[in-house]
Amino acid sequence: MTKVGVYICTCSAVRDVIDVDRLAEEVKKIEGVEVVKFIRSCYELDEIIKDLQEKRVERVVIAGCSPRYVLEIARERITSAVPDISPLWIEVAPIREHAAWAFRDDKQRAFEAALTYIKAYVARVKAAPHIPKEREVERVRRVLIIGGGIAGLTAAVDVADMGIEAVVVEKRPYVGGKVVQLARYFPKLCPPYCGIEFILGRLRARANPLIKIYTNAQVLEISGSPGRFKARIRINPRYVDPERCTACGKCSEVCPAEAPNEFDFGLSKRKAIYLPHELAWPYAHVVDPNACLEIKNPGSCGKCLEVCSTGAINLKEQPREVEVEAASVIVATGWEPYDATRLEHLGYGKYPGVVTNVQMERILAPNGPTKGELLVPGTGKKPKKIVFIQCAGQRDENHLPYCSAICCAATLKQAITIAERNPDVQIYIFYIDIRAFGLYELFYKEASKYPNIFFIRGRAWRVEQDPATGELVVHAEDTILGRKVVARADMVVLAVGMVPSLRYEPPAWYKSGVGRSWEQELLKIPRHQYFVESDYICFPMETKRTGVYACGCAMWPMDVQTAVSTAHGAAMRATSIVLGKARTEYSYLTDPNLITIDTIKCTQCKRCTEECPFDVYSFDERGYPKPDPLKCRRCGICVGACPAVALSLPYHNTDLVMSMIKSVEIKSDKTQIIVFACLNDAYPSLDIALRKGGRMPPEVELVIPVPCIGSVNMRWIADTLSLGIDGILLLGCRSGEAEAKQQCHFIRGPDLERTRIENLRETLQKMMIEPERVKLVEVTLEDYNKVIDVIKDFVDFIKKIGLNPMKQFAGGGYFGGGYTF
Amino acid sequence: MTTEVEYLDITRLHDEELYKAFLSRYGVDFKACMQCATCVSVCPLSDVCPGMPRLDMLLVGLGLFEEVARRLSPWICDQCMECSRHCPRKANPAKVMAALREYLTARYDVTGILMRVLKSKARKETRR
Ligand SMILES: Cc1cc2nc3c(=O)[nH]c(=O)nc-3n(C[C@H](O)[C@H](O)[C@H](O)COP(=O)(O)OP(=O)(O)OC[C@H]3O[C@@H](n4cnc5c(N)ncnc54)[C@H](O)[C@@H]3O)c2cc1C
Ligand code: SF4
Ligand code: SF4
Ligand code: SF4
Ligand code: SF4
Repeated sequence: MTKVGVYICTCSAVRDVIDVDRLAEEVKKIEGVEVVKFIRSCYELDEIIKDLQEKRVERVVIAGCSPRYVLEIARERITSAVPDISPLWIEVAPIREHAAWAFRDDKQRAFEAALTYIKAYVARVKAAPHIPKEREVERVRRVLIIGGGIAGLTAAVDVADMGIEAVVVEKRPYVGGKVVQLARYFPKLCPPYCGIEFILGRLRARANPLIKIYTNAQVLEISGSPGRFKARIRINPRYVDPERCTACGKCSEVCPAEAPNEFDFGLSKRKAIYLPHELAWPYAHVVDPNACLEIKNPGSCGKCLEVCSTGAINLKEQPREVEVEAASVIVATGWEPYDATRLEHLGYGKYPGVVTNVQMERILAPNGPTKGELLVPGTGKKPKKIVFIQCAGQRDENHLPYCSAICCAATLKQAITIAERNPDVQIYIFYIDIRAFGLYELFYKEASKYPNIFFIRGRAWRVEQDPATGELVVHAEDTILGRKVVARADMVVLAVGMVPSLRYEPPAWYKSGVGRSWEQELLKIPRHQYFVESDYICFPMETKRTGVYACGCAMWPMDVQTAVSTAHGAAMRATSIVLGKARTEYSYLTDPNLITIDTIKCTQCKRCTEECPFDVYSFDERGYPKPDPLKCRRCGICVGACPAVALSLPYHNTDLVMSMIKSVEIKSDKTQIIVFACLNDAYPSLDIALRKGGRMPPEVELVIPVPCIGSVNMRWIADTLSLGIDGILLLGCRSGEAEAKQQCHFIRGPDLERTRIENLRETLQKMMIEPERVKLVEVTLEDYNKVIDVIKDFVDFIKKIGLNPMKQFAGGGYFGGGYTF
Repeated sequence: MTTEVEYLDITRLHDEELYKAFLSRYGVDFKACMQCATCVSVCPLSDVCPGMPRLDMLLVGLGLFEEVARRLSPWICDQCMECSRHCPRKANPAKVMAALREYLTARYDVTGILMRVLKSKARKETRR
């Protein structure tokens, strides 16, 4: 027989309403309760620790404030002092909020409520399993970073700073990403090379085992669990040994083969063997196998081999694969410019004078195709008039429905650069609105003061060529003048938007344990067309895969300073997988609360694998769902999903919840309501409401906190109704998964719960129970002024329906305790 | 081209000479106008001449002097300075309105002397 000790807080908030002496007398009668004592405040734990140490009690219920204030502190202090106690053997019954305050005008009801809560929590601690305080997991001290742009490199340096190894996989032959292709940075108008050189300096200084960079490489597959992922990496041949190549350039001089230069976005040509750019790192030449004559047709060339004095070139080099273990992964794959050939109406691809903003960066760059001189591609002439077209595809449902965030600032930068260098060139900027957020507003103002920069508010919708003059004619409506206007120019720059690279090159390595496609998983939400959506406000760097983080433009369009900031954030999250401790908020790995499946009950229906928002499941060899506890975020949604109640979390499962409900005495002549409340929103909202003087309707028997409203199993609901409870109210956060409006930190809890309740209707009807007795209401933390009314409305509604017909079998004689479907 | 009839050809109608002259006499600060229309809201005469003085700011900023010449606003502005007091960008619209009246006066001076004076003041350095 388990010995339970109940410690009743006698602070004035409780004592003013509840006769604690009488309460203690009643509590002593509860089965299993061995010790009942008074404490002066919920934080007075010495007596409790002593009783546990001296084995007078084994489990503890503190009857006092809301568990939100007390529970974690009590568990931490008690488990530190009493070694082998399970933290789940300590519970807090909220008799201050849910009895004394909830019924402050009705002392008798308050007294009953206090007793009900204490009984429920005594039942709960008795049913709670033993778990250790925290768990040891083996974690590799290494972080894998995919993408070596400014974000990926920043993250690598950060990770190394924390004494953890960083492995960077970059698909291009050099690191630095897009910023090395930019002419200058807004708003300082400084050279991007400067910042890159700074980082490279740190990388070189750290030419130590802590940072390993694979260029020309790609991740093929990632398997395993957070803490110990296994990545298969393919390293494509460079054909030049960077350790021997001195970048003397002799090979390029003799190479006869040419190809479009991707570094200049096709505005120039390069040789088949080439140095990607002046500050390329590794500082070594590379061979383009699609252009090299010798590789395509052995024996046909080989000129470079003859001139290379260090013997660095090996045109027979083969791809190789390496395997890397890492505790966590950072996705820093950045962006690609939107495909401007899809903007036919704006003349791209038709008129050589129409270029994109990224091409303009190259035209203005000192190492660009024209060495920084402003010349019109095609004609090679100096332009007199240039038109910039903002939102060239952005904010357009036919192209990119979002704002690319930086193109206004990028255009301002390019316009200033041109205006400064060429005072006689006129620059017209067509815009919908100039989105120069934050301090970039000053930059906008600065640009507008240039005599040769003009702003036209209106979206340019067509670019044509005047056959008479050869000028490019841009059509728009000036929305300020309310008139259609045209502007004639020699050059048109399309400010195209940024598209996360993942869209053009889907992450093949991002495999789901149960075969969900990454698009299905990740592209479903329109707001987050791409990667991050675990919760883009509260945990922006987290993806839905535990241990996989994102930063930079892989998340969404952003400027360099934000890319760098998010990289710091992602590095911090990724290293917390290595260094994190249990009982911090995100210790998914060391948290001992493991999800477990009872394969005897499981019918292999696969609901859990479909409903788990974090793709925790795969299948074992017998076809049973196999949760990977290291990926689990402890939402309990699968616990709520399983029709066979086969899943449990130590702190949230059928035994715990049903033991609480079954402890409620069924009264044949009274309406009785049970409320489930999301621990993150509805429950605190109630705490606030009750503190502010909210009065609970007397019909409410218990408010049970749950990790997520989606963790409430329909079986519990049906059983509770079959016991004779008259109504069940579920309070969860705002739903809206499909539109990314959901407030649930576990993405889809309320959405799933709503569907389940809908599906439960039929079962309830068969049981002759009105389905309306179950209701889900969305209540968020800010709703404390109305949460009580929500409950009252529900109670009134249930009273109109009348008493639950099941009450006649009260006590569970007929259905109770058995499972109803 | 037919477009010239329906469309306002902002690049062809841009009067570079006058624009430069205007900038060198009055500076570039007025170009900071962001078309917020605060000035219109506070101008006591904007009921008489809609968009005053914001539209004038826009047209001068684009160098569209022909278009400005069609407007009543430069003639009726009584220099109460309300617009300049409230302009969030300190673009000083009242000063521009005064300048425009000066320009229009010169424009209708049949002797052409005033216009010559106006343009002669154009200095080489026009930037900021
Ligand atoms: C026209 C224009 C001008 C801009 N000007 C400025 C400016 O002046 N100031 C400013 O602050 N911002 C500017 N930006 C924004 C700036 O370019 C981005 O903020 C910055 O590039 C983001 O860095 P990143 O590391 O996230 O992405 P990227 O620079 O795109 O780097 C990503 C890296 O990952 C690699 N990669 C991609 N996919 C894979 C894969 N599957 N496997 C391995 N490696 C992969 C890529 O090769 C690349 O090296 C401008 C943007 C545009 C479009
Ligand atoms: S508790 Fe949540 S995260 Fe964990 S396995 Fe279940 S549904 Fe997935
Ligand atoms: S939901 Fe339950 S019964 Fe269905 S597969 Fe998962 S564990 Fe098995
Ligand atoms: S002049 Fe000043 S107040 Fe008037 S629209 Fe321009 S910025 Fe606004
Ligand atoms: S100064 Fe002229 S334009 Fe400005 S508010 Fe007064 S009347 Fe209107």
